[in-house]
Amino acid sequence: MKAVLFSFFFVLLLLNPGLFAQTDIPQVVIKTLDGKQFNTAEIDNDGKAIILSFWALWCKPCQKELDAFNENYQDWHDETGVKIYAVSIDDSRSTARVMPMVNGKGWEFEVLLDPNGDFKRAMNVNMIPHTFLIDGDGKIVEQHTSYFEGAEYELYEKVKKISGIE
Amino acid sequence: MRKVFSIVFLLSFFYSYSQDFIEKAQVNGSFQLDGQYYHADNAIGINDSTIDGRKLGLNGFGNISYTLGKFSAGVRYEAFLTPIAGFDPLQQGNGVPYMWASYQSDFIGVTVGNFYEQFGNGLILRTYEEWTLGYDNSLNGMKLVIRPATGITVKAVYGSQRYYWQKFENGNRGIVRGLDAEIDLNSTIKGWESAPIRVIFGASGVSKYQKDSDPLFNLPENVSAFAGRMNLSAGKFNFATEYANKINDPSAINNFIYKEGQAVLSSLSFSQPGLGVVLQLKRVDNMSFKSDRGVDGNALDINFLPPINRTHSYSLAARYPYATQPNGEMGMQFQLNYKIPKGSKLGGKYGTGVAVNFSQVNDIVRNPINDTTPVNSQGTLGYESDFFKVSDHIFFRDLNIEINKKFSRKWKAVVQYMNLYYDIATIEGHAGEEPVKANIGLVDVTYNISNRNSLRLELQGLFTEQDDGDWAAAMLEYTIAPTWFFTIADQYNYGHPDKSQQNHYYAFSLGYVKQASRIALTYGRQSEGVICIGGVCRQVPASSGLTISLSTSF
Amino acid sequence: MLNLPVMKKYTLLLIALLAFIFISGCDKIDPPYVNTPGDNGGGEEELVQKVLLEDYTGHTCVNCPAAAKLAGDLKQLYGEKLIIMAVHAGYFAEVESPPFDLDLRTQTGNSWNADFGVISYPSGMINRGFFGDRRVVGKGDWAPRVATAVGIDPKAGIEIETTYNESDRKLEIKIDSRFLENTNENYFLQVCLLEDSIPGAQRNNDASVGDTPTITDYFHRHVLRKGVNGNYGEAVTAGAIVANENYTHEYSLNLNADYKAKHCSVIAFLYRTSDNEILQVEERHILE
Repeated sequence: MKAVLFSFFFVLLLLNPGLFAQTDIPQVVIKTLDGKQFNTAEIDNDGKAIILSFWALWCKPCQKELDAFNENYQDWHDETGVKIYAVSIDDSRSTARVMPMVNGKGWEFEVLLDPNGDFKRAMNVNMIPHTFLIDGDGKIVEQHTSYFEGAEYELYEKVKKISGIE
Repeated sequence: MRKVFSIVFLLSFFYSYSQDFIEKAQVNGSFQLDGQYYHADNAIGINDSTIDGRKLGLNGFGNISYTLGKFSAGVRYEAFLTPIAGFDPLQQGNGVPYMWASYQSDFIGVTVGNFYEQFGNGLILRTYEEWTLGYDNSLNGMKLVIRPATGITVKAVYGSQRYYWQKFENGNRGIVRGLDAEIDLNSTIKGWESAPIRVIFGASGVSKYQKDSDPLFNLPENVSAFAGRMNLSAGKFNFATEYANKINDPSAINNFIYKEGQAVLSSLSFSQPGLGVVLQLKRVDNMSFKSDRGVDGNALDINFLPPINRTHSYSLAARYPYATQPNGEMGMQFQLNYKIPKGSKLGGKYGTGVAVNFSQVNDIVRNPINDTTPVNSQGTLGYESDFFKVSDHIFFRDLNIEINKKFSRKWKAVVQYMNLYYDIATIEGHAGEEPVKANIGLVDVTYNISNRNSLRLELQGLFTEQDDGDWAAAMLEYTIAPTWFFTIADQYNYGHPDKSQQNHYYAFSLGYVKQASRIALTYGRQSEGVICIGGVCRQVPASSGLTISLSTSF
Repeated sequence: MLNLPVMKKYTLLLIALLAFIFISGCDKIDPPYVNTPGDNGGGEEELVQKVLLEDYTGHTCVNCPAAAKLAGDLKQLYGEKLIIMAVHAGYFAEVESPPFDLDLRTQTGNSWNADFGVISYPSGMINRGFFGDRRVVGKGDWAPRVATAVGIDPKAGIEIETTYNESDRKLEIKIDSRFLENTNENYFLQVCLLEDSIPGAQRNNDASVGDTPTITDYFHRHVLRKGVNGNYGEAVTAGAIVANENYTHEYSLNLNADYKAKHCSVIAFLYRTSDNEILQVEERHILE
């Protein structure tokens, strides 16, 4: 019986891609780097594109992706106004080390802390890195997991597209 | 059964009925499936094609959530048929262990069903899930979050914890109740919004109830724990600290002693662009806090005592991981992250990242409570421990230095050196074995063949005279962004004192990623281990075979 | 001074009330922490419900001596009502280099270990009963389960008679079983030979129990030496079970040369084949 329910959901998914496209970011309360509460409803960029990436201190590919974003951030921001949010899912064993690492690497994004995985669960993130592309209306238009060298170029093409720049 | 039908009914209702329900509502979810097929492998001592009698292992879950305005609900279906090697056999089963419904507004949020929550750092309450470890201690009951004023948050929780597939009935485990309040002074007090110092205070209390049916001991049925925390930020400095105290809680973990428990976790950090420094200090004394005092192992923990050492990602560096000793430890960690600026002589064209990390954990000092009672005797106060004293017994020490540098558009590399001291007798329960002293070195080089194609080589070496001896590992990974990856890896235990056990643990992987969906196939070997934690010893067998992993999110 | 909306002031009161309710449970216990042993015996003629505590263990299992000590403490508390059987089986009972070269495993113990799915050590069973949906449990659950099991009214009685001949080491056993009610369920009788106080070495990580990391002068208590009538025993009787009828079974065997007769005992238990739960157990030292 349980298997039937499981497959029912799967079928629902397959038959209705339309049901699941274009969703909003769920509202969850997480934290900023100095421990202040932050409601994800405040993730906003004045109508411009947003890149939202989940990472952790122990995730090497995540850091590679964010390093790649960091290198290109200035150029990307100048051209499209895109803003990058990096949400760390490190739990209390590493929370204190996030800020020093972010600064030590010279990352310029807005870093948020999700120590108990509340935002991660709400966004259905299972494996990191998991990156979302959000358009000016606050809708998720694209997402991907895993990072391979060079993937950031493809992501940026999509950023340009939704920003109306060719 | 009824639950299943009502979910199916609800879904079919809004699927076939109102367009409104679909247009304004949002359905999200994710699925993951990990399957393993085992076969015999005489070279590493696996003589038959089953692990504990199972030929096939399957771990899977499906998560769906529905959101409409301020209301949301969700379920997660899980199946461990049978659990894959390395997972606790008690996880075998399938069903819906996680269901919830929630209403959230600015002032109040209510959740009923299963939920996760953390108070402060988790020293007295943390319920969370970690699929890769098979860990899930969710609370089943009710959660309330109230924000009476800007900057003040109060949370209340009540329920029973998940214990694998066992339903809560007739007091087969305890009931947990907790309350947490946090005040962000800068938001609450008028005129403090742009103050140069930002202050946050928090306090929490958690209490568990479990009936005493033990004939030997006079056990407390209500055990409470309290914690207070503070977070101060000023300019480039940040100071955070939390102190927790638990009253008498005799349990299988602490050998039924009546001593109170304490924990402290503090950190001080300094950071500015290009430089980050942090120092962390920790003390734990008899702070295991479980919903069921008779249970050992990893289940039913109410709190979370974080290990404050670095979690390593490279396989040989992560071979000897540290786990917090809930009965007592004193730890510290220091980390420095520095980016040698771009354009400088040492930094090169792109800058060079340097990370130095040092952590050490020692035992606490325990003194007998009187002349006739040995330390830790059950049914007594156990021992006395001076808050500031550190014992000479080192559990763990890790010094690691990492340098990463991008040389050009085509080349980049990471180099790491690590020196490790690992008290394997205490941490893994291998009594009588001497502590492992190891030196680990690794090089990770990436070559970008073209814009989309890239090749990565990892070479690692672990050098030690204890335990299994020296290891060498190599991995070659070829990726075609953003879709394909191929990996060949091998770990070779060339230094094992017993020549017949100098095995190669090889693995081949192939994967395909499309947006948020991923399929990976791995064929290879996994080495064995013995785990003795929480008072119980279990052998994790070596395995050899094919693993398939599927996951998707929508 | 505070950004506090007027109508929400009452919530502070509600919160204070919640706090009081939640945290009011706080039992600080004063010594003595340990219960003193109570009445141990029942009347001589009345049937007494006895409980079998099986302790699955091994000599390289560091957490096992603490469990054996707990079993001993429970035995002190319950006296004759509690019967302990230590089954050496599994990974931590394997023979290794000296001083762990003593082999206390048995064919019977090995098959029970596999059948009941014992995978971590120490683990135990109390009359092989289910409490909730678990039968095999860690030592933290032994004491409350024994307390519950001992309080059940007996439904059967077992009497054991033994005759031992020193010169040829022949042991003769006679078991009389009697049920208080008729039943259509199938019951089997399992008879085992145990030996107590076997000297050996034992890995240990609990300093309050003995030396760490190894107790070199350890005595393995209540060790299962042999399943006298096989791994699963035999049916109590061919047909249906009738109340108050005496079912007799007799066995004879020769003790191995290395067994010390003065430490040997015979245990017998009746168990239901449908779910393996033990109804009654009895023990008798062969040299009484």
